[in-house]
Amino acid sequence: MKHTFTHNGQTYELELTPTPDGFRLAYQGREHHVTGIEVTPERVRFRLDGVNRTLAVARRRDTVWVAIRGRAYPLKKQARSRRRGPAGEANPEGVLRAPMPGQVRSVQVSENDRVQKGDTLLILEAMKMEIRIQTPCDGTVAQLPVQTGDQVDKDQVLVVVGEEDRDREEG
Amino acid sequence: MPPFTKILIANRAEIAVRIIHACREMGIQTVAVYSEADADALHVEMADEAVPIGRAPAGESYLRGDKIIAAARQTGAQAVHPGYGFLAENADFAQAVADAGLTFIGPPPDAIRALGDKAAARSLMEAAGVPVVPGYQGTDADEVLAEKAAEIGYPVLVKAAAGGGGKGMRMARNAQELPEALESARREARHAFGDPRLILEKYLAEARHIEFQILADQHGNLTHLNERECSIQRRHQKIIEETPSPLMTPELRGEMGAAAVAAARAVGYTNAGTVEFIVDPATRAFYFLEMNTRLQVEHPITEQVTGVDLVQAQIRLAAGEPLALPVRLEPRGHAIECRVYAEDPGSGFLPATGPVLQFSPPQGPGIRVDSGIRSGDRITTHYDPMIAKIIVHAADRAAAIRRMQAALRETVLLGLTTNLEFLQAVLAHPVFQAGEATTRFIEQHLSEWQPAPPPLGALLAAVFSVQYSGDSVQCSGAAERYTPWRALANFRLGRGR
Repeated sequence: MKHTFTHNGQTYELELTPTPDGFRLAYQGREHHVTGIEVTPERVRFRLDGVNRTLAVARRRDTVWVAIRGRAYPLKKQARSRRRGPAGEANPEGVLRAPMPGQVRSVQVSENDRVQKGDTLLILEAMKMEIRIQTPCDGTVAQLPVQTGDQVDKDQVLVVVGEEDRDREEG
Repeated sequence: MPPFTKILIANRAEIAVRIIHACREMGIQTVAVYSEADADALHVEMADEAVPIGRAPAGESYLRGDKIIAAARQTGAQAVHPGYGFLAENADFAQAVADAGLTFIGPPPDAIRALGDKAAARSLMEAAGVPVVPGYQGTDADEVLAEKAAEIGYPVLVKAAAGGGGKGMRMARNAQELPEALESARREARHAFGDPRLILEKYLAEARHIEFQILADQHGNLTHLNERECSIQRRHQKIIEETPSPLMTPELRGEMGAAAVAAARAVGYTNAGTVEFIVDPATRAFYFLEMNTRLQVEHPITEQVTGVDLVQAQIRLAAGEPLALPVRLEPRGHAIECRVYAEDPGSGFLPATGPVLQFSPPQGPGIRVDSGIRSGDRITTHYDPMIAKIIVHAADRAAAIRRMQAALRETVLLGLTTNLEFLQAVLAHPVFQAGEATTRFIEQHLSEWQPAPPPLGALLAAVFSVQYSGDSVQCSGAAERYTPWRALANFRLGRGR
């Protein structure tokens, strides 16, 4: 099974195949063996190619923070490309994120509204400026996880615009 | 008998925690003040009493001297410790505290006022025989300034007389650049400080920032507790400090220490303060830069090598106790402080915000961590994004650097971008290790720094964290293949060797 993460603009893909005692791992053209996996909300422990590793982790939305030797890596999980789910998730273009930390000043749309390319969906106030979050594509507002007054961080998802609603049953 | 019964701390985060520690040891009751954003903060929890003083923006809370004094009255506090930043160097606030019949734990308002004005401070120091950066602080007419700039010699720094924190400062590399620099600095000075007056100073291309800690009682006794080297800076803000300075010799310490004491004496200084100098590493010529009329962020490194608790000293001096220190305090060993900030060194040190998901500070012999932040706290844009100060003390400089490197490697800080990795890059750099860093170190040697890519172990940990936690990742809606394992909070697989 493939797992994809991004960090600092780069993409990293790992492929894990189960074995009787753990997993075989393929990464950047090499094979590794992983066993002894233990997971808690704060720690992950495993044996990688015979070496025991324990790392501190913290999850927040689609990002896993991992600490190693005084470094911290925010690893953003990438959704798999072919999936069933609410319209819009398969389209990364429709995921509108905050360009910098700020506060939601006003929200111009509601979930399930039809929107047209260029429409202002939300206004963010940041660094004493007003930032208009506009949709880059026609579609439907699939998710609206924030509301007026919310403090948001850089890259936080503000609105998700999905593909045009199609008449089909979601699986 | 403690010098005061109850002290109000007019500050927040790590310095408020620091002051509360000192008060506790002295048997003094503490009052914390807090904004809405800090309702669950450590300093609020630690204090004996806590008074809310307004909404998150500092201008509605920590900068409201009237509310702070009202809180002191309400709780019966006898003294106010301003910490650093906020109102610590606000002469009007110090005066208001005194007028309210309370003790301000710091110098007299007049000393704060005199040293807050760069032009006045330069004149005072010149009169006291303290060497100042070659410059000019007289009339403001552009023709006169141009003449004086030529006399001083380019490049020249144009600074706001009422300024600080790097604001209202411009550099002119030659006579052609001067008019624009003057106009621009004047505009920013008027806007930021309400005072367009300017001073000129020679720009020293390669300089070391070395400051001296001063303590003075109310009976005319002053002393210094040696120097701190603070040349590792970004955005005119220090991020690593150490003592002793690698550049120092006993002779230079004697000369600079005497100049620092003379500077403090010239303004009738009392309590704790720091005299900052610029030193030319080639000639070891030193010049007065400014004096900070408060406790410094980096005070812990002086505490480590002298054994003096500076906050407790401040409290005693404010109560009128005489200075009770030996004439000369030789530093013992070497101490380094690293300031951990929520910021992105790979993107121009832009401040970062977000929740601190996990903070696990380092521990061990010779390691001290001063912090007001805990796992679960949020870093916002309302305040300075400093998360913690990590301080180490060891027998010598090389041992201190090793100890700091080990401490940083052991630190866990998850949830937002910090400069932890960047600090390690500074410590590993040969120029820093040789003790030769000037104030342009980061600009010259680490301007292109980027964080390292994630190692395989980190990626794997992320895979398993997502795969085996109770909740699935929000953006993936489909059923996972390993459904039987999802329900377990603690998951084990294949424990055999």
